[in-house]
Amino acid sequence: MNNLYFYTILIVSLVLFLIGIYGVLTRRNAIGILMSIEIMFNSANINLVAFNKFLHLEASIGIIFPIFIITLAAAETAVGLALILSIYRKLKSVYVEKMDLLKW
Amino acid sequence: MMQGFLPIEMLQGLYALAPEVFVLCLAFLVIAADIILPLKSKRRILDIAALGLVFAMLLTYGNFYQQGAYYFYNAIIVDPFAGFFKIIILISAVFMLMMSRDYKPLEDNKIGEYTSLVVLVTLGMMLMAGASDLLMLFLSIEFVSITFFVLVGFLRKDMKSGEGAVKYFLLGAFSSAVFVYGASFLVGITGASTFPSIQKYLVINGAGPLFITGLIIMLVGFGFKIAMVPFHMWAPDAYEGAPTPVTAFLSVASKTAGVAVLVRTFIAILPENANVNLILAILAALTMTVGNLVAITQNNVKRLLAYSGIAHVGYIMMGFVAYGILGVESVLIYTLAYLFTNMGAFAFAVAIYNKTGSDDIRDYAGLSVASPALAFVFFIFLLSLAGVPPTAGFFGKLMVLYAALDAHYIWLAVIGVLNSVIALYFYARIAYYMYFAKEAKITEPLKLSVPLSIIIYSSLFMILCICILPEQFLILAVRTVKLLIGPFHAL
Repeated sequence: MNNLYFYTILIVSLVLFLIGIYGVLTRRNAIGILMSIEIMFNSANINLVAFNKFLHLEASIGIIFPIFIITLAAAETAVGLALILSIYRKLKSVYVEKMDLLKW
Repeated sequence: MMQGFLPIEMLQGLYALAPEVFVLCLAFLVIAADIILPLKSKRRILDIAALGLVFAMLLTYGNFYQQGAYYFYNAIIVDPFAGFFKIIILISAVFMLMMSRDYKPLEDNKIGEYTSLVVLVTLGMMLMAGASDLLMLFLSIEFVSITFFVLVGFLRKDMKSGEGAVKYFLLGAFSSAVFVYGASFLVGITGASTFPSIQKYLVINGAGPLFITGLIIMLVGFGFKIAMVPFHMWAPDAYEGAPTPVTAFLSVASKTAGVAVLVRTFIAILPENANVNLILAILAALTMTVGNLVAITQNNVKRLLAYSGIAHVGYIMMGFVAYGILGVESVLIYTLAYLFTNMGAFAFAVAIYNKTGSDDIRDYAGLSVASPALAFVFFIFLLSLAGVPPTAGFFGKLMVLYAALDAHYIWLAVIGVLNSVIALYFYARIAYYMYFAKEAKITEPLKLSVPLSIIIYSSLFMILCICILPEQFLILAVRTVKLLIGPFHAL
């Protein structure tokens, strides 16, 4: 029974991860891509907590790691939003296909 | 995990990490200097930081006398391997600060902010080189990435800089998310995040399919950081948009730190039954080929060097695929050669940009007539990039190919050789514009400022030194690698 719960949670986190990748690949809006990336970070958090609960209840790393991930994801978002804002001031758009100065 | 708090252990750790602690203090000193110094002498801050980093280099020398000691509850390892990469990172940081001194688009009132970010990112990369814990690894990689996002977008008035930064940010954050998802499997299954504990787990329980999946997902994350094909798309855009000194720094320091982390992680926690070598070999071949083929059509020198940097990553990975003492040794020699060659080439890009205001290689026409000596020195750097003797690039390539042949990757070595022929073509294109183009764009002789000439001539000296007198470097590399591999696998 426990195993079934465990695998369900792992599959949920995998689905979240894939939704995140799908969002990054298909979204045209930079903010949308950022949100998809946040979903991917959260899938890692779910994974860690689930593993900790079902495999290594005595280890604290499964709880500590997600706290760092959440903090860093917030820091990354702050910098990212600042960058997107600064480009929005000039471009008047946050759509990535408008950012076409640099091309091969 | 939860040992008591022991101040003595803490102090020992801080003592062993003296270079890192010093660099952190230097960053605060730089911020203070920014407040104190008047606007006219703000460029002095770059000198202060460069001198401080040279001192940190001397402190790092102590790492070579450590036999791989763990500190801070096994989160950080201090060994010659880490020391080697820390020195490379510090050298490139010093060169980068000296290059920035004459880089015109950088405004005087932003120098303090810029320098403190550079010093902090150097600290982050030094921690990356010594990380022996997945959490520490993740934190230091993020530290470096987030700081680099800001540095790439530093020229706020330049549209290209902002665009490069946004693209770099989106793909960098994406790769961090992928990396941490892979790491979550490793941490979750073993219930520990430090490499020694993970090794212990692997010895007792072996690696299941989930563990190997996690490791491969982590490889994708690393691939983004070192710009490995097919995860290289951000590199050319970020490199072209960034201020040129930052481009040089990104292409040398960030890449070598990524390589250090990749090598250490895979040597430390790659289970016996995981056969990722073939995947890595194919990726190495792809990386070389794509990097070189796309570089042929580039006209912007920064973009061209970005693609050539991707190709160089392919060679470094070839040495890594070969594995064993010889393989890792060739990686070390190659990174050393790459450091000096690339820094020299970027110093020329800055010098010529200051003269003509253009990064286009077609604007290099006439350099050989205007200042023949400098054109010849630049030519030597190009030879080293292409891997022609008697330069460091040649020796690095030789080592890598030898390692690949020694490990029976003959097809990979053949692809490597074919690729250096392609590479010769596009480096020769720059030389063609310098020497044979009809309309001269540069008519007056190029004047090098003191910092730029120090970079160029010391790099030139090292390039020739590595190829002509390789023994010292080889001895150093062998010693470094033996201590790295020794504790993990008895080879």
